[in-house]
Order: sequence, then C-alpha cells, then structure tokens
Amino acid sequence: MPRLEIDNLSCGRGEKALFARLDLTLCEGEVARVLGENGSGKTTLLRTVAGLYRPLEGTIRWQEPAGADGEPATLHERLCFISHDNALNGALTPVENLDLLMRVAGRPASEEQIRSILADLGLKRIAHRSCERLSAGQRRRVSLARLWLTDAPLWLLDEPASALDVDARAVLCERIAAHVRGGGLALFTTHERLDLPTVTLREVTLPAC
Amino acid sequence: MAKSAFMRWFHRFGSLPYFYGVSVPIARALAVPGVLLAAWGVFAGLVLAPADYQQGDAFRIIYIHVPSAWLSMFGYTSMAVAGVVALVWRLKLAEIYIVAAAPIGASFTFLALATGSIWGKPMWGTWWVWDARLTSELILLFLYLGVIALHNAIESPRTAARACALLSVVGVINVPIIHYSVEWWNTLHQGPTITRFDRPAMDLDMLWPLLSAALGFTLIFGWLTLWGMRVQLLWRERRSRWVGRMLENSR
Amino acid sequence: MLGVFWAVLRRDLLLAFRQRGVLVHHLLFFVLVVALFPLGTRAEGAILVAVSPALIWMAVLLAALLSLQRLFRPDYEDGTLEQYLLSPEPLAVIALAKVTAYWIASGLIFVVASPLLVLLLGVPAHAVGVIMLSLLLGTPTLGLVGGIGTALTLSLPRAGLLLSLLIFPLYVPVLIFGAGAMQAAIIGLPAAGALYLLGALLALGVTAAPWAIAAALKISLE
Repeated sequence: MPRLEIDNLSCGRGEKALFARLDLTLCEGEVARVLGENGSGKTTLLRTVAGLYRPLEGTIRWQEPAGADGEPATLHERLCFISHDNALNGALTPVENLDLLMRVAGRPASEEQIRSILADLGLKRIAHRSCERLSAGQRRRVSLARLWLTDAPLWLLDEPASALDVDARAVLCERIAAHVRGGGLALFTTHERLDLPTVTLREVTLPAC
Repeated sequence: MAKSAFMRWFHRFGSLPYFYGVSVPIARALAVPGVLLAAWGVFAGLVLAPADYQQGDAFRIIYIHVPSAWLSMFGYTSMAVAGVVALVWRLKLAEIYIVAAAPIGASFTFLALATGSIWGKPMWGTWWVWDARLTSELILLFLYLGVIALHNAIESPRTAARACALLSVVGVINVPIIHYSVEWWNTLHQGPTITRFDRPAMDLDMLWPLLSAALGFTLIFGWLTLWGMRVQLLWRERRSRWVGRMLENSR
Repeated sequence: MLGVFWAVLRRDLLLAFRQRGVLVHHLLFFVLVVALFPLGTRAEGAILVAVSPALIWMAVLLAALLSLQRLFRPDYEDGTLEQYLLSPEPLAVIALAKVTAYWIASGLIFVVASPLLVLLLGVPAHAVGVIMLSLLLGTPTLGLVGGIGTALTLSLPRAGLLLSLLIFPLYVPVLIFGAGAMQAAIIGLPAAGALYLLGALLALGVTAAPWAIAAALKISLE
C-alpha cells in the first residue's frame, strides 16, 4: 500500500519557520486540501514534500512495497508536481512543451497521445500555436493536461484552479476525483471551492509555530 | 568506535552555541603566540638578519611578502576544504568559515601583490612584471573577490554561503590549472627577459625569522577569521533562542 | 538517461532555431568587436596579426558572457527548471544537454565564422585550420565553466557584471592555451601541445562541470 508519511515537519524560508510539527499520513485513495491564509506556508509545504526545499525539521517518506526488481521506488519517481508556474516556454507549442515535460518526468508520451488529450480537453485548436499567444486560462489548462498524461500515484497541486473558468474547473475536479478513486494520492492548495464528486476530501490546517 | 567518537566530536563542535562559547579561549590561544611570533619574525628579519649579498636590504620585504603569499594560498585552500564540508555534511560552521575567511584571505593576497610589486621595482626596475607567480596571485585575488561579491549579492544568507562554498571548490580545482597555464604562457613569452636570481640556500639567520613570521601570521589569520565567524554567527542566529538568552545574560 | 539528454537537447536547439534573431545578435557582436578593433589602431598588418589571437579570444569571451545569461534564465522564470530538478533522471545529464545545445547555438557558430574574421585581420591562411580547431576545443569549456557561474547567479535578475567577475578568472587557462595555439600556428610553430591541453581541459570540464552545475542549480532554487 503506497502512502506518504509526513512526520513532525517544520518548514520555512531561510531560518524562519512558517509552520511547525505537522503530522500527516496520506494513504492510497486519499486526497487532502491544505488550508491556511496567504503566507502561512501552503506553497512551502508542497515544495518541501516535492523535495525542492529542505525541511527545517522532520521527515517526509514515501512508503511502497518493493517492485518486481526489488528496488523500492523513490518519491521522485512517483510524483507529479504542478506549481504556480505553468512550466511552458512561450516560443514552443503546447504539444512540444508537454512532450518535454513528460520525458523529463520519466513518463514519455507519444505525440498522438498528447494531441488526443488536448483534443479531449477542448484545446485542439491551439495545440500547435506558440504558448505566448495563449490566454492565461488556456496556458493553465495546457499545463494541467499533464494530469491526464501521467500515471504517477502522488499528485502535488499548487493552486491548480487559478485562472480557470467554471467549466474547466469542473473538468479538473472530475479528473482529481477519478485519480483518487483509482487509488491515487493528492495534496493540493486552492483558494476557490473545489467540489470533488464522490470522494471525501480531507482538510489539513498548518499548525502555527 | 574511533570513527563514531570523531563524528560525535564533529557534531558537538559543529553545534553553534558550543562553538561560540569555545571560540573566545581559542581565539586568545591563537592571538598571543601569533602576535609574538610575527613581531619577532618581522623584527629579526628587518633588523637582525644579515643583508643579502646581491639584493642588499631590499630582500627584507620577504618577511612580509612570503607569509602573505603563503596565507593567500592557505586561505583559499582552507575555504575549499570548508566548502566540501559545507556541501556534503551541511555543517553551518563550515559555511560561516568561508564567509569569514574570504575577506581576510583577499587582504593577504592584496598584501602579497603589493609587496611583490614594491620588491619588483628595485629588482626588475618596474612596478609590475607579468611574471608567472605574480600573475597567478593576481588571478587568485580575482577568485577571492568573486566569492566576496557573490556573497554580497545573494540576499538569503544560507543560499549565499552555499553558493560561495561551491564557488570555492570550483575555484580551487582551477588554481593549479591556472598556475601551470600561466607558467606555460610565461615561458613562451618572457623567457630570458627576466634574470632569475640563482639563490643559494638561505642563511639560517634569514630563515628562522621568516619561519617565525609565517607561523605568526598564520595564527593571526586564524584569530581574525575566528572573530569574523563570531560576528557572522551572531548575525545569522540573531533570531534564535540561544543568542537571545545570551544577550539577556550579558545585560 | 540518454532519452532525457536528447529530449532536452532537441528542445533547446528547436528554441534556438525559433529565436534565431538572438543568435544573429551574438554573431554580430562577435564580428563587431573584431571588426572595430583595427579602427582603434593604425591597422598595420604586423601589429594586427600579432594581437589577433588575443583579440579573437577576448571577443569570444565577451560574447560568451552575454549569451550565457540566457542559459538557464527562461527555464527558471517559467518554472521548467523546477521540473528538471524533480526529474527522476540525474540533473547533471539535463545540465550537460543544455550546455551542449547552448554551445551548438553559439560556440559552434563562432567557430564557423572565425576563418573570415582572422583573414580580415591578415592572418596567414595556413594558420586557419589550427585556429578553428582551437576554438572548437576551447568554446565548449567556456560554456561548461560559465554554466556553473550562471547557475550560481540564477536568483539575481541582473547578474551580468557579477557573472564576469565569477567566470573570467576561471577562463584564464582556456584563454592562454587557445591564444597560444593560434600564436604558434601564425608564426609557424607546432601548436599540438596547446591543442592537447585544450582537449584535456575540455575532458575535465565535460566530466566535472555538469555535476557542479547541478549542485549550483539546487542551491539557487532552494
């Protein structure tokens, strides 16, 4: 049973702690929303779990039974992290950008796959337009298309719904819910209400220090 | 067993309040012999040692020049060693050492260049010669200035110190390459224009003061760096509990 | 591992091709520095030939300094760089791919443009081969060493001057052996020694620099 164990975690930028002694275990098929005001450390938490920042204290562990080759998987091999930034280069098209991102994530996708996912998401017309000519909402949707291409079990999503309209938000919620129903794990932050159909949403409040 | 004892000592010494406490007696233990040795070495070199049969009194500048040049190289190498410790074991003390040692090492490098140039005037008849050793020393000064500038430019003290650690390690790999490349270039271009003095083995009356001055200046280097580290430490840990408690107590 | 190397290399070359105006600017900068120099002297043939190795290499160094600032900055700003850091593949491989693409789009172009420029300076034609070879061996090292400097200064938006202070001292060996090989070729001496040394520097750079770049990127993003 894969699970994410966060133990006695204190995070901060520089020497100053933003929150302290967070304990959280996320098991198969669980999704949690991180609550907190601006500047309370929501983004820092996600980036620390992803391994971009080092915790001031505490541990983050990815537990999973060893695979066929006897090697336990590392968190990086199991992760899909979508941050504030879309990670799209303006001079490249959505197809080219997604192709690179999926390869770098160790989950290469063929051009047909990418194109059909973009078509499913209603982005067919812009699939071959350079990203600098897209609107903020379109760029966000292209970036989120990674969620349909990846098979990573652990999703870390930082404000995934920013710049999305109501319809796109519903599509996103449906995708997160499907992922969780299929046994995936997700940890996300959001300002807007996100209603995930047919799954229970856990809420995590960051303990002040 | 021995290893674990060493690691325990390593971590204990790495603990910042402990280091801050012991730094005062260590600094004192470095300062007193350092100043005495350096003073005796410089005095004996400038006054007591016999004049050089070729260079007359001009050679006496080596009592400043050689210790400075030695410390310029010692300083940078020690920064690189601390850099490896900082990058691999993430020891804060090593990060602080680099930041504190850089300006002091740069000062000694500058001193070595200045005294070398003053020495060059009577010897070569000009203030500056693109001699291999002087040129390498000049580039070493730029390496020091790079570390200092990088540290000043980056706002977060932790990131700045770690960036400086990496830069010193990269720099120290380059120092020998730079030195040999400059020497290679030097033999290609200058060759016979510089008359190299065929120095006989140094007279003991000249050598002892030099060794004494070199050792004394090295201890002074350690002393100054230690004080620099104390300042850095207080500044970086100013929000921590142990600094607060210490300031309370001293009031 | 190779898959990611090729993917990043191909993507960066594609980007360089899409933004080829920038490449033309770098090439023009290189040409202008060399072409303006004779106007500042009395343009006597012997003097120009004598200083041409230093001149060509200084122009290459300055052009490298300008172009290096774009090596990681766009990826840093749009968030692609953090995806590189999270990749299960080694970051050093990605760094090597980026430097390779950078070199093809800048260093290699200087190599191709150099024969024209050195002939403009009156360098004898028999030296052109060695000159191109020295640039071919030297410019990748500039990219590798410069990559460490750019990665370290990534969090600073305007790091141009600081970058020059960090990387120019490290460029001294390449400058010396590169210009040394040119000089030897011009006066008809064997240049093999200097070229071997340039090759040795390149070998050291390829094996060590990607790891240093990776470490520097991690420090800058933390």
